[in-house]
Amino acid sequence: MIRFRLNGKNHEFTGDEDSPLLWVIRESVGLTGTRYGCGAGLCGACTVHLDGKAQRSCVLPVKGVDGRSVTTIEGLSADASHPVQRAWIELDVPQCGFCQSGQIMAAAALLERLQTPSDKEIDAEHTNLCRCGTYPRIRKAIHRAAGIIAEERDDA
Amino acid sequence: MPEVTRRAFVKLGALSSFGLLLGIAAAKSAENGRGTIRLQRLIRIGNDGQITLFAQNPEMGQGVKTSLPMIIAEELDVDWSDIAVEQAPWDSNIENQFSGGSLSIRLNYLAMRQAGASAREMLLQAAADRWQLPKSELRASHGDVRHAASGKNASYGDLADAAATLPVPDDPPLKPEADFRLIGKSTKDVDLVRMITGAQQYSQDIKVPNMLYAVVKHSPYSDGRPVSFDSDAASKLGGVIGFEMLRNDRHGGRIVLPNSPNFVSGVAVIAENTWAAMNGAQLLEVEWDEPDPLQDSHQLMQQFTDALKSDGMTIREDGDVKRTAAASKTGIDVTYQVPFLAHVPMEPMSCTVDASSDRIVVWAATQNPGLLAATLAEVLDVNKESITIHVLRAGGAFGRRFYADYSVDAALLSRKLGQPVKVIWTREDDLRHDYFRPASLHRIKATVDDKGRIASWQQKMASHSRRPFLGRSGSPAEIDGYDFPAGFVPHLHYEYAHVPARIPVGQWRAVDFSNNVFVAASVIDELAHACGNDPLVFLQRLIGDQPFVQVREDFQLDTSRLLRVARKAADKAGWGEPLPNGHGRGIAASYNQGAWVAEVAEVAVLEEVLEIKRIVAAVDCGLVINPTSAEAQVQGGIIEGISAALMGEITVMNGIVQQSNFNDYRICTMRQAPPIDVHFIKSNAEPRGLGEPPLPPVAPAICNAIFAASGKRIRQLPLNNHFSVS
Repeated sequence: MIRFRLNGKNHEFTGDEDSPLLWVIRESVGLTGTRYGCGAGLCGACTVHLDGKAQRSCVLPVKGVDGRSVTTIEGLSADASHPVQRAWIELDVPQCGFCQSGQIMAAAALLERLQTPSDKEIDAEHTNLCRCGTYPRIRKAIHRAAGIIAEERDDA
Repeated sequence: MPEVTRRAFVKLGALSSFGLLLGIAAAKSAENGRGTIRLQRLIRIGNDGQITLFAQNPEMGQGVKTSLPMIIAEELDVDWSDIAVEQAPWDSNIENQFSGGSLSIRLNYLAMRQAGASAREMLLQAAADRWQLPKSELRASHGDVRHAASGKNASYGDLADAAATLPVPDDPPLKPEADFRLIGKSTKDVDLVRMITGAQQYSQDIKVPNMLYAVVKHSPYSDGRPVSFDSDAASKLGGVIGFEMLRNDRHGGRIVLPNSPNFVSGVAVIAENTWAAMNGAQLLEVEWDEPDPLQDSHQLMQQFTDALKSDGMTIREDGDVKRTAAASKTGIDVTYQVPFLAHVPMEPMSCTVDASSDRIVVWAATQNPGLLAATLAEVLDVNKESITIHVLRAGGAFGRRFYADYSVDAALLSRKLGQPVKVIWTREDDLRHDYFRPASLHRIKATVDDKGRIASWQQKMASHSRRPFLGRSGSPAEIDGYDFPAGFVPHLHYEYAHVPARIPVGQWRAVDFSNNVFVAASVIDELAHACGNDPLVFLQRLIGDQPFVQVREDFQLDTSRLLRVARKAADKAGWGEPLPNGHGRGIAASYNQGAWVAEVAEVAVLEEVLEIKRIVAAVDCGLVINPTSAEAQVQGGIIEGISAALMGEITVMNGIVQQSNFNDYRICTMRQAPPIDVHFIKSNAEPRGLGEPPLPPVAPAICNAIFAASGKRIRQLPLNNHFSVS
């Protein structure tokens, strides 16, 4: 049995321990915001946070999260209020939207590590794929989210 | 025979099906007397005041789920914040319910306006009747009808019951465009918050009661069928329920319809969840019968080369190309080659079908629900009317979901098993069993005169054509008699050689403009340099200064609009301003799929490394309905064009597609995406689409810039065969 925390709640999984975390989240738990794009860790549509760090869940067997804490897009905030989500809304980032859960989770994790990433750092670190070509707006939104976080930190 | 009233049987005219639908809708709502108006299934005004607009066309990221309802809302005169938008399910009574060809707004702009205007007029009439006042003294706006003089006021909800009993106007007055409050104003996507919170549902997310999951181990070949299979290892997996062989032996493996791809045979693994099914498919051992001959894209390119040695089918012939060429002093003789390209939308193919009873229910991301219905009607041997299609937001499509092949597995399995079945394709399957943009080879001999004008243009194109492969009628040619610069060069000859093959091909974004604009705009640039002209000056001279050119009997090109975008892009890109060593600019301009687009690319070529520094685009699509979405469409089309130009290449060897996932069929990353400046020409002209037009000019703009930067002329894509691009 695999026991892990998902979006702040305890979960137990008794199926195939080699199942990728992605499919456990999507079908065993039933949260479909984390998406299947390639199954090979190449596109990032399946990005979640594992103990606070970005993790592509399609290439991690669920046994790898035993005793650990996972956050999905649904758990990033209760109401689209995370600074990254607010920036995404402000700048109308998505087109088809399919990759956006992963984009947001990756961006949120990036901003935990690098408070004000430069364009070069965004280029190097943000490798999620988008077929619709929302990259120009994602880039702007990452900068904007960094600004929101800084504003709120200063206000606090 | 029931009495046929005017409202139930409106005479068919120019907007025929629209008129008929209004009639049906009004009669129906009068029958059920529930106080709703529904016009063409587009508008629902409840007597509780809730207003819902239905988005007619499938949404795939191009923003029509927002922009088409915006047009209705404008004429209906409601505040955007007061309405809800829902996706319309497939409705055979709705005309033009498809997303493709950059046509959603172009074909439906007037119909959406008339729907909104009709409803508004009916509400005004209902108020006029209630208050015994002339309709001309009443105004409908912001969701209310008011009589200014007396202060009388009623909401649309109050009036809905009464309005539902009224005849639908044939030709309602439309709002003057100067009064537009919503059209032209940036409006955020109706699904934005859902997409940001993970709540947005896509095809792979569907779950219905009693549903089984299936993953099909498809033939590694596009043709080829399973002969036998060994499920020993697969059946031991927890969650695996069973196996079904899927072979379509009818029509020689084809579903015979227009736009009908091959059915790809395989063995389905049925399971309780997707992972078990995927895992099972991996462990399944299948013996396939090999098609003969095995397809090979390199051999096909050799066949293209051979085909160009003989005369092809003449597509267009003006003047005397041979004599003019012989008399010219300056000319070029060049060969261009482009590869097969895959669609790879971010969401791989999937579909859920419940064919367990007489009512067939489908949950699908589809660009063309009508074609999906026709396909399943054929496959399941039922009437189209017994099929319900829930049209889902697509995780990208780009032409891939115009076909219905990905629904057939689910339909057959559901029928066989008597339960709803969701089939998910792996990414490998999605890539391997795509319908590719055809590869092609072009030989161009062109000359210029001593005044810097193109004197002759002889182009022979060889390709493996879409229409014969898909069973569509019409010329097999992948080049048309109206393709630029036809109509602008006095001596011109287009020839086409159709080389049949069995590599699946179909409509990719911008279709044949994706290859032909690359070739034409590059050759134009080559000719400019051949006579020592600045490419912008040469291009402007070629386009000319008449307001329009009658390119062909049936096609007139407004050239002033093409010149305008070329000048604007050049101006905004700083054309002519000095650049550092190793940097260069290139320009390409195209009218394609309804809009005029010019792009200037700025690149740096340093040693073997290519970097795209910036793209500047100028776009004329007439009236812009939703500016934020329009800008996104241009950026997106350009980025897809950049992906293809830099890295896009599908190859086939021994019958099998060589690429499998994003590691070997690469698409543009954040790092490779340059800044893209988009400039729209302000216009009140008829609105055009943007899904495709921005894509074709970017490859030639980049290659023209590479030449300016380095003196290296690229005639064969993708660019990662010539440079390091990551």
